[in-house]
Amino acid sequence: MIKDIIVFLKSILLKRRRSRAELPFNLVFSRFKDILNSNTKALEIMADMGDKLSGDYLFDINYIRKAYSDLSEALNNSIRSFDTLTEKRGPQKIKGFSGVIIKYPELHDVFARIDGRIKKMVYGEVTGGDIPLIVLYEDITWDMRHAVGGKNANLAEVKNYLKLNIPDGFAITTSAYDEFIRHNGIDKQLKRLIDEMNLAELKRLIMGGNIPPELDSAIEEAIQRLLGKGYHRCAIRSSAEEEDSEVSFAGQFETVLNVPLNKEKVEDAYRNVIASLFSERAITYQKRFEFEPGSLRMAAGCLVMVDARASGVIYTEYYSHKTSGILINATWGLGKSIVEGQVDADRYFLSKEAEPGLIEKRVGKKKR
Amino acid sequence: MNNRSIKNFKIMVIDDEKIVCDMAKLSLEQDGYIVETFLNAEPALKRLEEERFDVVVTDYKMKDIDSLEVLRRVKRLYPETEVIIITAFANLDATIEALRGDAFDFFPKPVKIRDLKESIKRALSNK
Repeated sequence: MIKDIIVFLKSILLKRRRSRAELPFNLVFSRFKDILNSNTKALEIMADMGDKLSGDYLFDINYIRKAYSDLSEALNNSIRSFDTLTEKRGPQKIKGFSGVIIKYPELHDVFARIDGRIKKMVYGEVTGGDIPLIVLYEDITWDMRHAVGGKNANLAEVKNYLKLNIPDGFAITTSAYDEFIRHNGIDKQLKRLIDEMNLAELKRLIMGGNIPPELDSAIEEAIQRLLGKGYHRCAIRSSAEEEDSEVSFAGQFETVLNVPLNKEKVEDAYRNVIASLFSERAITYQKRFEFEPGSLRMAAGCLVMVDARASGVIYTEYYSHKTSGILINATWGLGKSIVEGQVDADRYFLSKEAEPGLIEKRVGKKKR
Repeated sequence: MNNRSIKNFKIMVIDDEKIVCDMAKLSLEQDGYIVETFLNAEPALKRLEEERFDVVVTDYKMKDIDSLEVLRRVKRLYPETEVIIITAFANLDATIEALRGDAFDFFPKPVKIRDLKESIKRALSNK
């Protein structure tokens, strides 16, 4: 009898120990505290906004932007911590991967949708007056992210603050996009052409559009600067306002590689990037995430080409089919074929922890 | 403010956000001030050439002219007019520069309207 009790107790204790090994108590406690703290912070920010709305204060759009940015960050932190608390770990295999499973992925979708809508309202009032047409990467700061687009802003952060080796280049801003669209009279036809889904005509207008003189000179000046540093080719990359934010727009817009550093060629590639905002696929994607087609503005990045032996894409927060972790896709040469899904790339799946561990590796059938 | 009724005091508000101008005008007029608002500094300075205002409340960062330039030009026209600067981009350097430039007061936004009114009262107390 006593032996049976000891066996029973052992089984319970061992079971508990196994469960603790899967999600350490200190991590659970820390994430629980994070949820409470983020929630408290969110409530404080909302209370403060209510206070400012009382009519006793003079405030402007900068206050609203700052307050919402803090609120969005607090809610985002809360969701991430909630993911950790509710996640399941174990041998489950979903679409070839094993690892952490997010229990409520819908939360991310709902948050991204609401966050996108509010940011559109809060930042929609920015006028192009103060924004230069071209900004060099070293001059880009985070508060310019709506002018230079998400991709340029993120790359510039990595370059200027983390000091990682990012190719030299410049951003062609949303202000330049506005100028281009206005200069060619496209603004007056944009809504109608989108409503009629006459995207071929829209593309024709963009591809045949003239670059406004001020933008033309600014591009020439920026190119001369890169030529002066000994570069000869560049990539013109899309960097739409909301790209690489909560909604990634991965693979939706155009990137033109190996563009000679020559004004006409760069401007042609720039037109291609702008036109990709209105491809049927991109319009469908925008509608899916509740962006009104035609309202999103396109900035572009001009980055010097790197002679790549191998390249890849890393998803530091990979959520798909309830699987979560770090995903790296890699191939020989340039990475464009990966983004466009044209190559059977190598796939590395890692756990998202302080010291990421390799969960799965698969070498793709690809040519050098 | 001893010899003049509050109704005679003229306040100019310059801010490139309409909501700030509207709220300032509404609450200052409730106290009996005569208030004129401007969304840009250039037309505000032109208006000042026509008529003197007792206090100018101006945003620190505007599209057309820097508020410190507004401060200099107001003081050149009317040394006795007090200038209060409000800003969303509060930093120590800007504050020091504004106060050295003879600004009467400097407030970071959001500004409590009661504090702004107190400051205006102080600015007018010797007039």
